[in-house]
Amino acid sequence: MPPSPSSPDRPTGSPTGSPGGSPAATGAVTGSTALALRGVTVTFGGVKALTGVDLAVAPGTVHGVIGPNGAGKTTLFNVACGFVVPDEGTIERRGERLTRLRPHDLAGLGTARTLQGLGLFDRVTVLENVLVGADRHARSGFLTALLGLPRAAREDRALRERAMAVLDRLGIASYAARYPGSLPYPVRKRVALARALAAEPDLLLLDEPASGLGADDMTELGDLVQSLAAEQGVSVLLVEHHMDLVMRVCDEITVLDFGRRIASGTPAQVRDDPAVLAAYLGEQVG
Amino acid sequence: MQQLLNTALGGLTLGMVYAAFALALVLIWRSTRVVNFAQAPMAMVTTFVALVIVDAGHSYWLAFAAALASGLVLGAVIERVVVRPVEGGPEINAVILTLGLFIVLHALAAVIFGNRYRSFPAPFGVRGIEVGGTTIALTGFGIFTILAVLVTMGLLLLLFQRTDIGLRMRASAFNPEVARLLGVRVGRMLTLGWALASVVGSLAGLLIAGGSLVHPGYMDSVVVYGFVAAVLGGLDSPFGAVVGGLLLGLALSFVSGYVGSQLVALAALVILMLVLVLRPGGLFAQTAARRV
Repeated sequence: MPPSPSSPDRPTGSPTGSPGGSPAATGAVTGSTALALRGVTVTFGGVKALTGVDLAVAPGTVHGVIGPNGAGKTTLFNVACGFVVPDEGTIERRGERLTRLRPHDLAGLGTARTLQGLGLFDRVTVLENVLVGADRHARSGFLTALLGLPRAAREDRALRERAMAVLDRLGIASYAARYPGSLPYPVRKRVALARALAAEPDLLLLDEPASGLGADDMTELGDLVQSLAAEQGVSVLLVEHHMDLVMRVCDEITVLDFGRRIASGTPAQVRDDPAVLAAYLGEQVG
Repeated sequence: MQQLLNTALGGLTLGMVYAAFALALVLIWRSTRVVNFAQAPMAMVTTFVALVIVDAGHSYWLAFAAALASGLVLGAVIERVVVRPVEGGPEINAVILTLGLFIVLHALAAVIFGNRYRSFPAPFGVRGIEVGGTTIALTGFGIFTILAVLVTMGLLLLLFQRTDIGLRMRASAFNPEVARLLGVRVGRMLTLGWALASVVGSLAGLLIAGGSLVHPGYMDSVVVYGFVAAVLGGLDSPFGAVVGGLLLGLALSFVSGYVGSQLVALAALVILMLVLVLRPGGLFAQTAARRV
């Protein structure tokens, strides 16, 4: 299939390009996507940050979003999180249209995200940081917890075991009792990732997870992301600058430039796309 | 020697109450960055609730429990109804608001409960215990005060350090945006934080009132001492608030016993100024640990 800029040539491709698509159009077609944005347009005071962007993350795949600085990657990410409400277009999660997503709704929907700034709680131990992330499974009410009733204690133990398992998986179990502020950056990065994973999300949004990492750490990160998708069926939306990492781990890539999707497809398709080359190398393409 | 002991014991008892009150201020400060000056009249109102129940012929303990429960409700309602709407704006707005609440609650209490001194009962003796023939300045109620504050602190410590909800409250206080992302209902945690702080404040109010006189302004000096104690401990640290409260209680007791009781308020201000000049972060500030 020849790569054609801005044409929806993905398997999950659905009636796209209709900004402000009516809710009636949702449903059966997209039941297979973990996350779908359709015709999303975001305007900040007259500046269009995103224009009619379509993006679909198939379950158990890694979807990369790349683009030059200012292309709208972060805005797209924030739309996916519900932090930014698009002026036009819809967001669907597992085939259901989302309206007015509030930040605390994310975890309940099975979505976890990491932040560029990590956002670790510095005065709380590494284990506790991860426990906050694991909390969406906790059911004990306030009184049960306060009175230390057996059910709360049991849940608490289960949570702690799960959090330790995640730390162990990321190779940072030995830091469990330390405070994040005292740890080297790559370790803190892993703590942030562990916290996102502890919620056992089915959709993981990673905002530049490789920034500031050395080559070895980046390789491990890539392996981890791939195994999450392949073995645990987690869908991953990855915004990243490191092209080699994106090319290696992503099943599909969406390329943004000036708020528009200029290409999408497999890494191989995107790599050879003339529009992508133009966006990155600054060439004019007719 | 006996005076030294008595001064120290008096200071310890008073320090415990200051510690509780400082703790209440710190609980709210670290989650909402608001110094809740209304803490004093809030505690005063709940003490009057207890007084009404006692005057109606019920037991002290029923009144005690009712006061704490009304503190819980009052804290939650004030956070939800009064403080929440100004959240997100400049922090000074909320502080001015608590000062406004201070005046409003004062006036309301004067209207409802009357603006005169009334005696408040104590469940234990308010006379010094006799040890080996001499009476020391530790009363039965003083022992109750110390134990009540210690138990409350122990429970709060358990709540914050050992339970899930405590962890969520800490997460909400340290970084509300991130906590929200992780699914924590930050708003509820803030309400709960205000409610708990208000309970601790009520406890301090009841302990000050026991065996003494109450009127709408009886807690006003305590908010000053509680604030000094909280600043002494670094405003951000519950542990610091407790130690700050004890130190302040002892220091003021010694000033009162050896220098002159009229200098107590002045001494508190001198301590406040010294702390702000020499250790603006408080004795136990973790500023170094945070500046990473």
